[in-house]
Amino acid sequence: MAEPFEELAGLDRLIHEPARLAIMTALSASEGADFLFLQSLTGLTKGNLSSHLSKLEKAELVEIEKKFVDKIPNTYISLTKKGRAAIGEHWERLYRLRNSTKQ
Amino acid sequence: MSLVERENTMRDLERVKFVTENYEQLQGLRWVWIGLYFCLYPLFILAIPSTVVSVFWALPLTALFVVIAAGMFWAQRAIGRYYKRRFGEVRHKRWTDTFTLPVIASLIVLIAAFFVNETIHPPVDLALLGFGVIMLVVFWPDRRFRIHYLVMMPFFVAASFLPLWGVWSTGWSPDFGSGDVFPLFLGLYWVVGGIFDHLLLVRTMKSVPEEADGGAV
Repeated sequence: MAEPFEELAGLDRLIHEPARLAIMTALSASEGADFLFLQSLTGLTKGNLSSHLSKLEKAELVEIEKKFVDKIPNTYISLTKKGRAAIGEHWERLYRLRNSTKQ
Repeated sequence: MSLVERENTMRDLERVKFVTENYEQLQGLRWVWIGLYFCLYPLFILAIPSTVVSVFWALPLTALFVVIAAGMFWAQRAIGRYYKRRFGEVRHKRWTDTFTLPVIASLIVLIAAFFVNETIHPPVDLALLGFGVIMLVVFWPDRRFRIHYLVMMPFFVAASFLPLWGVWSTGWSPDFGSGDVFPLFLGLYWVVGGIFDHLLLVRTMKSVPEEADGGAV
């Protein structure tokens, strides 16, 4: 079993940033969500959320789809296969860390 | 303060996960209307016992209830659109995937309890008692976020013993039987639960000014 420090060092910094961790966690609990939902849930500004999503998209962790719903633009975000695996692993590490600090 | 501004403690992240997973169920105002409709039914039965309602009135009264039901269904859809406009949309797996073993087991328990109520007329209202037990089993894992259902549950269980004092009779009754009482409690469950679910959602989400999100990313 890895030591707590090793677990901590192994955390993916791209995902572990608070806003991105919240975004990834929300997306992992669903098939996907629209921009407005993520903005409401995280409380981030539009620009801030866009910037975080761009970073996640660049790392191929999320997929961004733009479409029109009733003539209104709608941005829909979902996790890629890689993203789903990454957030799953990240949560496992967090739980292991929490358990190791309890011991 | 938003969830992210408060620093992401594990609890906050678990809340994020819970709200996303249960987004549709937490749109409580949708269920409040349906709950009110169900509450209306036993009040109607109490006001006009079946022995008084003539065949002449049966059809218009049934039509009235159908119209009210259609109105409630429309209101439920309209409120759904309000949530979508205010907080956005989440996509989940198909609804058939949520028809899990606990849901099927709950339905079987309720149907069995109704059957025993109707045939044996036990001293305790088994349908209501079963409903209370189902609430405990279903909402126990969510107790950190939806404690209100567990607070409601003892009232339901306690109410199931009221037939012992003749408040209503279990099984069918020309005046007021357990089949008439159950919609009232089902309605209360939706009204009270719906209000608290809505508050949980509103407290978690930050309302964003309405505008198109085109070119957001």
